[in-house]
Amino acid sequence: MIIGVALGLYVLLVIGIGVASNKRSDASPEDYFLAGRGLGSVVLFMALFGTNCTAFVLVGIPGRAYHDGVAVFGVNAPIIALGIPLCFWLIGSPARRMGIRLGALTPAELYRKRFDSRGLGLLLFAVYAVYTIPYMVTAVKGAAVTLTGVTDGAVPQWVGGLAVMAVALLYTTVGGMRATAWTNVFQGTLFLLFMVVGFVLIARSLGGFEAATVAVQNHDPSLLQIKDGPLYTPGGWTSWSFAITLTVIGFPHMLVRLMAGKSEDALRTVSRFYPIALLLLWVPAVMLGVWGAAAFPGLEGRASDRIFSLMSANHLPAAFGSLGFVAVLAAVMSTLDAQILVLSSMLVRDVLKAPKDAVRSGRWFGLAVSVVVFVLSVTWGSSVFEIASFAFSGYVTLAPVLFLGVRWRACTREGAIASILVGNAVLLLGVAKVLPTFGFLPVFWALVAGTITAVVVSRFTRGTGDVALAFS
Amino acid sequence: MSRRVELTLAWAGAIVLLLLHLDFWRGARPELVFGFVPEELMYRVVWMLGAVVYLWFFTARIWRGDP
Repeated sequence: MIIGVALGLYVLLVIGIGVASNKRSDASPEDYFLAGRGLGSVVLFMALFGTNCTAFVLVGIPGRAYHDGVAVFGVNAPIIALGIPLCFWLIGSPARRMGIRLGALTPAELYRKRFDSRGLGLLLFAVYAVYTIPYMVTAVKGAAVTLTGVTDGAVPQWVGGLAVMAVALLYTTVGGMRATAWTNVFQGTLFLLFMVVGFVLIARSLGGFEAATVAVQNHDPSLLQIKDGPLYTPGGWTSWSFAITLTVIGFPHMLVRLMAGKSEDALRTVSRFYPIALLLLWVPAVMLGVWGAAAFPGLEGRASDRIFSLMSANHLPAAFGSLGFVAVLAAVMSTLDAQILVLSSMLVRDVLKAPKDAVRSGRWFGLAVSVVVFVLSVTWGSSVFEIASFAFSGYVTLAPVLFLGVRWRACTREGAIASILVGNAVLLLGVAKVLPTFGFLPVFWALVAGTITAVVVSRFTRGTGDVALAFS
Repeated sequence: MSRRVELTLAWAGAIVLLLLHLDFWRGARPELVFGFVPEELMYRVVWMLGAVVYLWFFTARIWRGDP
């Protein structure tokens, strides 16, 4: 009952924001896809933060921490707290400026115009789609698993997944980027507040911070230190550090938000506060999973994805606990909406040749993507963390082109295309264990190969596009 | 502070933070700090606070604002 009320209020609010945003829109593609490039510091911060944090953090990370302990925090949170803002400066800032100069509304369009290459635009769209759809699947699965958990199985996973997709699609379709950015302000605030307050309340319910952690020490002390495993070897740790840092700027839904920033100062302000918000979110996310290992022992494999909902349902007051599900929904939808929008915008701008009604075409494609994601979410058996790891590795293969394309005038179309193809080939061959990885993760070698390829091929080919305009 | 000094500090700060993140020299111990914070977690949180300070410096002195 309480969950139903909280859920109803949440859905009404996000749809209301979508409708209100629609009324403020001037219906131009720039306004629909980039909010008129007018996102100020606060909205831009929440739009980026809300989009960045999804079921991977609220469901996948507690689930992984349940098995791997606090090591999950060390291998992820610190390096992204530093790396994401630096990537905003390294790639996001010049991409925003170049996007304005070239009149680009999507990441694929930006690089297509930079290199004057329709083929590159199509390739970027294809790669983005291949890795974004699995990432969207993690969001839907995370929300569905949580809904099933908090209702003790009364609501099947497929119903939860369908509802999440439908609501996100509805307000995104109605209001475009402006709607997703403003709903992200509400959603980001909601799930950040829930995590901080819920963390304290759950600790109290477990007898205090000391009792909760000592219980873990007695249950399995290895959860309080770096564990054994491929991710925690020097090679695994180093390669994952690069991967998790570079993958975020590789998300098209993040890059497009940076392109929607109002000013350079807005990006700088965002970068200052970003690591603080990550700290506030990641400590509770990891510790809930670690404490959960002692509180609910025996969850095998991906069953640990339920730990967040189990902790919320059993250690929080009923009214506040119901917010736990809404918080997961908020985190999930704040990413899903951005992903639906950016894939739609890339289809319209980079694949279809100037359709008569760009906004309507984008909306229909958003619906098609949502159907595919929903079907995959009920048929794909891997855990949220496993699927997200696959998608993250794929995005990293784009990092050399994203960086060199906006920072190196001599980078050529051929270099960019070769870099993406070689990087993805090396990644796939490494994952399939056809290529040796020498203790590093396959994504590390994909990054190295992609970078070398871009530089070498660019050296032997001639530039295309209006480089002077792009870098003016 | 001259531009050269600022850039040197920025590079040095990034390298130091990166080396402290790749801390394979630290042994794994399940000890608790203040009785409730795992030592491993405490190390990472302090590192992140260092990154916050670094990024404030970086955005103030290295990353140019709007003209």
